[in-house]
Amino acid sequence: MSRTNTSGGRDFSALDAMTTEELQEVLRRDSLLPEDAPSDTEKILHIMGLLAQREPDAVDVEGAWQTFNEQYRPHPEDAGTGDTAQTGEAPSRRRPLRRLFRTAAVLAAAVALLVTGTITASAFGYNVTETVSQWLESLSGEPWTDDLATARWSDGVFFFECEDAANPDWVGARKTLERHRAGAFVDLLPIWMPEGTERVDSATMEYDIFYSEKLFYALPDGVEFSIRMTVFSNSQYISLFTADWDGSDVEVYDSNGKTVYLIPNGEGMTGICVDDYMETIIAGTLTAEELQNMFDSIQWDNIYW
Amino acid sequence: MAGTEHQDDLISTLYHEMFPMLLAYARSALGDGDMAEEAVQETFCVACKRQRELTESPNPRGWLVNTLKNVIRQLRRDRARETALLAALTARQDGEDNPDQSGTDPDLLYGDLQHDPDYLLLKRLALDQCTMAKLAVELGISVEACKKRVQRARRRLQKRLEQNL
Repeated sequence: MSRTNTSGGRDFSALDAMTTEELQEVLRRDSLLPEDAPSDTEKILHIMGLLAQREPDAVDVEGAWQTFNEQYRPHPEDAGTGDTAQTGEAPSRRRPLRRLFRTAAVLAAAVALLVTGTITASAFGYNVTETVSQWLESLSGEPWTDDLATARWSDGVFFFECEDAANPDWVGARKTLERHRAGAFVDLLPIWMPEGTERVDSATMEYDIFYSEKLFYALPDGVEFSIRMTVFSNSQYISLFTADWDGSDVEVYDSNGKTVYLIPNGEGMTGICVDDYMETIIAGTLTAEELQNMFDSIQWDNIYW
Repeated sequence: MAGTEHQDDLISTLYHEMFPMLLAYARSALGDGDMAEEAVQETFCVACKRQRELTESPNPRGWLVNTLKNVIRQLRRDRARETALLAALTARQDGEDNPDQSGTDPDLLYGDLQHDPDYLLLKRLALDQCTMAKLAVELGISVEACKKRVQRARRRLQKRLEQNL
């Protein structure tokens, strides 16, 4: 085959002269590159096209398409897109950034108070005692359970309790954190985020029973949200979720094998994923669909440290 | 609703255009025909779940190629991890004759391995090289449900192994 082939102004005719085995080897090596390694996508696409053309037996695309639709194509219930997702945008998504940051700081102090009791009432520059008192007074609700965890309110504190009280994963997770510290969760951040998302701040918390990183994000239209990932060293842990829950129904769905709770939270919605040793919280003025997309895009396998 | 139909059209168009090319890549990477096709099907699963991302991509074909690469990487990691897990469990079972220093009866820990549904599930994938689609048919469940079942099985076996090391 001696035709000259170009794509996007580039000449790929040299590839045409290569044997099928040589082209396959190029693709095989490309597939072995690390995820962050540069790859010449146009060249790869050209090779793929050449190999497809050279395929001696025509590929049964229609048969494959039928198989895809019958067996693989995710159904709404599989994708966790229930009624909430079909409603589209949440009624209100806007919330001042400053308020979120202030709330986060207060809540961080509140959790610290509940966990260690060692932070003073003036921590973070706010009247923590008063704020926490108001927050505790607003709490109410009934417990609910599922296969992985029990969630309940007790004495004004929101608990998630894992069923396995002696999970060695927690120890392993702590050891990993000893090594990595800051940025320990970078591989676990959702791949999908709303368009225009920018990271604007971050914070870490470390106490005897947990290590936590919280990242703050903002969108061009003023929407903001945060992602908090926490690993605990004790099975009886206090969730870092302390936002106002208005008592509305909590939606529970399975995201790639993980249980995710979608909890109406004032003007927005909070998603919580409870693992045996780790808790992931995405909170802010996001829609349920956006939360689900984010949770579904987390590469959970990366937590097997 | 019109948006959903448009996205479905996009998936269908890309599928019919790109399936042979993606399959060629997957076959070069994985060799095995069944596994290669599964990787491509899984790629379009991801495309369905992230339709917005795909739609908004300036280069949807490149997006699909990169997604396929990630799927292949994940597939390799999964199979390697499952194989290692099964090997570790089998090695523990083979060592049952040796007294357990912790005093726990090994039979209680690993004696039932060959009848353990989690073990058998992973064995079908990792050792028998069964695709997720075939396994789903065997189990009479959807591919998506099968994937979740495999994830849970892997986690339970991993936990079982770690707790008894």
